[in-house]
Amino acid sequence: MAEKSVETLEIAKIFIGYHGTSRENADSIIKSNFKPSENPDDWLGHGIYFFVNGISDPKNNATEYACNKAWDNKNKILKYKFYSLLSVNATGTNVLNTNDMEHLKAFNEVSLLLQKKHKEIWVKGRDLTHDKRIMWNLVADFMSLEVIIHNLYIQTKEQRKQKITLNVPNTTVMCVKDNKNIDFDTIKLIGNGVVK
Amino acid sequence: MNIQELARQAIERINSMSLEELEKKFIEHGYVPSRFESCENYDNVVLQNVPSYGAINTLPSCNITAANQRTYFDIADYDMSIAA
Repeated sequence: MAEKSVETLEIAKIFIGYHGTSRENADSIIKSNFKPSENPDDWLGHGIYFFVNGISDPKNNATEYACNKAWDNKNKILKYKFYSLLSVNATGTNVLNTNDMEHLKAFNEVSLLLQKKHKEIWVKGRDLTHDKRIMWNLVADFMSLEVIIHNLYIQTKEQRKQKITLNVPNTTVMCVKDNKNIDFDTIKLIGNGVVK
Repeated sequence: MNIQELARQAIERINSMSLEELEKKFIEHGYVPSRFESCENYDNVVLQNVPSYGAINTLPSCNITAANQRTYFDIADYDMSIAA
């Protein structure tokens, strides 16, 4: 009983996240909160994504992201002309921040056990480590993670033009697993712009 | 809760689950075993029954659309007429 009360007294950490999206999406988020993404190419598994303070300026990262996402490469058209930047406070007690070596070790410990189990289930299985999204989802589920912070390499517009791909992280990204960890009242429109 | 404690609890949970339960968990999170891998689990059954059409990946009757659905590989579902 005493242990439980200590647990519930644990103070949630607060993180400021920046999100760039179309103006239309931003309006919808301001009205009805973020929705977790469930795309196959989600960087850190399913969740709501933000840029946070870390390697580079998160507002610039969010702006660039919004501009890049506007381009429909298949049809060679802009999906939207105007973007918006939002800021928000996210909170969580179960946070994995891979900038901390202990957190990285914890992730790898759980991930390696899952890989071992994977081999026991599917004897000649394909390499699960290629399924980054699935591994992130599994680890987050078993560790009951609410917030994940991780440094990522995202190709910049300039690098894309010059066909340069590097492997050194250049942004710090936060994945919030559920919108109950978003403080809805703190969602703020902090800027609008035209996609360049 | 600190990260070591979260990892310890996660490991305890994983180790306490049966392989069947874990298999469901993997699939719940989007894991789909490859077509080859799933056929391979049943290759003896396939090869014994259709020796002339033994190339596992070319068998139309293998009927694999979602490799995580193991019942697709049950011999009872095997469509011999297509293989013949």
